Amino acid sequence: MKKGFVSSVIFHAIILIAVMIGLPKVKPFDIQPSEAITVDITNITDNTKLKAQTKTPDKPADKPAPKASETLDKPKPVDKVADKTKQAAEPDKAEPPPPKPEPKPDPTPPPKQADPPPPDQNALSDLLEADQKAIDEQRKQDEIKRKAEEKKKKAEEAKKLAEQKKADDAKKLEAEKKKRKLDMAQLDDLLNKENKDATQALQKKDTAGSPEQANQDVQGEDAALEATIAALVQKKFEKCWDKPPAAIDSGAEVVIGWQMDRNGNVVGQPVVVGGRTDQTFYDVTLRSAIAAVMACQPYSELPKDKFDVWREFEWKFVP
Amino acid sequence: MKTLSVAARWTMPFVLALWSLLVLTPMAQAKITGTNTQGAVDPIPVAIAPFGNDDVSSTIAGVIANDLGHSGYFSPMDPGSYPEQAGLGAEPTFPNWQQIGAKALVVGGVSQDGGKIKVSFKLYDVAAGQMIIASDVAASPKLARRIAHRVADQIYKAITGFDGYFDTRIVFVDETGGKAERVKKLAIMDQDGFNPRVLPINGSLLLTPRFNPTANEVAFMSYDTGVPRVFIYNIDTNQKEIVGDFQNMSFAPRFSPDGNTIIMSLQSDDGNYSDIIEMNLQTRQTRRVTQGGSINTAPCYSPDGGQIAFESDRGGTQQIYVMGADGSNPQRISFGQGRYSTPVWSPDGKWIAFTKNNAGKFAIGVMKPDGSGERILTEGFHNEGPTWAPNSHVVMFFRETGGENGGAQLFSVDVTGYNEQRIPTPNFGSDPAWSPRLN
Repeated sequence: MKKGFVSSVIFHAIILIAVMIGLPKVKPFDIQPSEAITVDITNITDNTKLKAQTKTPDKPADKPAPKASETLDKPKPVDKVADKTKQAAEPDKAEPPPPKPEPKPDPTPPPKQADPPPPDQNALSDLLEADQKAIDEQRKQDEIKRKAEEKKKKAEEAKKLAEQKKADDAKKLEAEKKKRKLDMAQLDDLLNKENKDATQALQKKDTAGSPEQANQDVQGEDAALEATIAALVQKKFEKCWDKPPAAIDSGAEVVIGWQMDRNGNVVGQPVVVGGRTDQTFYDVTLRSAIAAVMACQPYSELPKDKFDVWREFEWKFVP
Repeated sequence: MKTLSVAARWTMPFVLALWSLLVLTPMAQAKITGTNTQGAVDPIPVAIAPFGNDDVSSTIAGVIANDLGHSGYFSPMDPGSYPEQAGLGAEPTFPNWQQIGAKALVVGGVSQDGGKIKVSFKLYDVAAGQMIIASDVAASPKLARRIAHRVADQIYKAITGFDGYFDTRIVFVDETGGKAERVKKLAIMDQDGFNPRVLPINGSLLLTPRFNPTANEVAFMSYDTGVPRVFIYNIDTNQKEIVGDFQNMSFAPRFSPDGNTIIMSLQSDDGNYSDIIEMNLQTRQTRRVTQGGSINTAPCYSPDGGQIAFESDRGGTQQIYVMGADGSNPQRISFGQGRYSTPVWSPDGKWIAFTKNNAGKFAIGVMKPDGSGERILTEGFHNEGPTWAPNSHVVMFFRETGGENGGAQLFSVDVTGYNEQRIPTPNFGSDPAWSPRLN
């Protein structure tokens, strides 16, 4: 038992140390995207919430779709996203990729001074030898000089190259930084795009496919159906309603309401909903209107499968 | 955990939307709404169940059916088609009556109430399955028909909205004898043509009878006194009196709405013109309303007594004018083709009925007191002499037929021009005057 505990402690300690030593470089990369996603999620959620709020079912008609996108387009959430993205990008800035060491030109070795020739033993031969030596020496010197110049040139070129490379690297670094920034911006854009897409999706759902829209579509169909039913019932009343002759063009009008059962029969009796009770012929008009509704029974022409649409009526009678 | 949270956040709006769809939609259930200004104008099928087995009961039910049928707004059904015995005791089985097409059902009974008979009745709306009215009417047995008219009046008003006019009378000129030697006497009858009787007034050429709106009196003109004159006859007392002692012919009398004044025409001394004069029946003082130079005649007060409609040729042809009761501000109101005469103001003041002679035809029409809305109700060889029912909805007039055997007959027509009905008279009849509603 003790053995096991000790070995477990040692093992965990090793792992802990290994993690502390070995993982720090990885850590930023792990955190980076994860934090970015968190930001994304937060903002998407926020935006989604906003959208959801704008499309709250309490007032669906009061808030047309453009307002929802306006809400999303408000700078605040975008700023929020940008801010957070910026914060998430800061670790990158703190640890840019290690720049390549500036290439330093190799130090050119100083030209070697020619050793003095040994003294001439034979004058002419010595002179000739001396001349030849001098020529050779001169050639050597020229060669050395040429080589030195070449080296210098090369070194300068190398330096130039190095500087160029340094500049390029710096640019590269900057570009990399920019790229990272761009990436984050793109990410923002992506997020925004996703948000917009989400908005559009919601908006699209508002105009096609969503339950609300489905409801609207149904309502649209219902409206057409209601108009058809109203026209049909109106036609029936033209036959069933015996207009009280005295009330014709008298200004009398009544509004009555009633409910139907599925078989097209009136449930109970119609009730008064409104009308001009101050008119002389109100009473006789009301009686005739109720009689018309009852006399027209059953309303069997009405589609039974759409009973929910025509279960309730409200009708004005103007003799 | 975050993944779940994200999913939940994405899903939440849709769940909410679905919930609201399911929960809120039924609450926002739409109603089918609409308006009808058009309806049927067909006569309403009415079933009048027998009021009893005795003659009086049968008579009463028959009078009611006749009144409603002649009004044009009802179609009394054949009692043979009735599905059940319906009475005052139990509520009718409405589906049975719906089955035969009845829209209104009248049930009733006759009982003795002291020395009177009492008619109790109920009117049902068959389609709605509801009672509309229930009432009793009692009177002397000899007034059984009038009781029936009163019941018919109530039914008529409940369904059409118009005041009833069935319990009224007509005074008219009863014409007998050949065309060359026609005897014209005054007669009176119920508005449905029943109980006609000639008034016991001496003379063979009695014309233009007019009811006093407030008393059982008739003003008329007689040619049997040398100079034609205006008289007033009391129906209850059989008393006749001359109205004014004028040297010249007086004619075309009409009572004021309060019955205290009579207005008529008085021929000028040269016989070429006539003026309208007014006489206070209490003081017998007269006042000239128009001032000569033309034929001014056929005066008629407005229901409020403030204006007088009359005919005059002052503009060159016979036309209708309206002036103040004092003769002020006369205004011509008829401007159609032809000549206009016999203006009669409707009891509700909305219309003036007239006779129009154009292109050899005589028409009965109505126009508003300002002359607008002219409407011809009937037209033919010779129609003349309109008079209004007290409900201002029906006009009676006479129609003369040509030929050796032709003569005058009475007709009624709605102010809409529909439902022309012949009113039966024992002989030829002309120049009707409709009484006010009887007491």
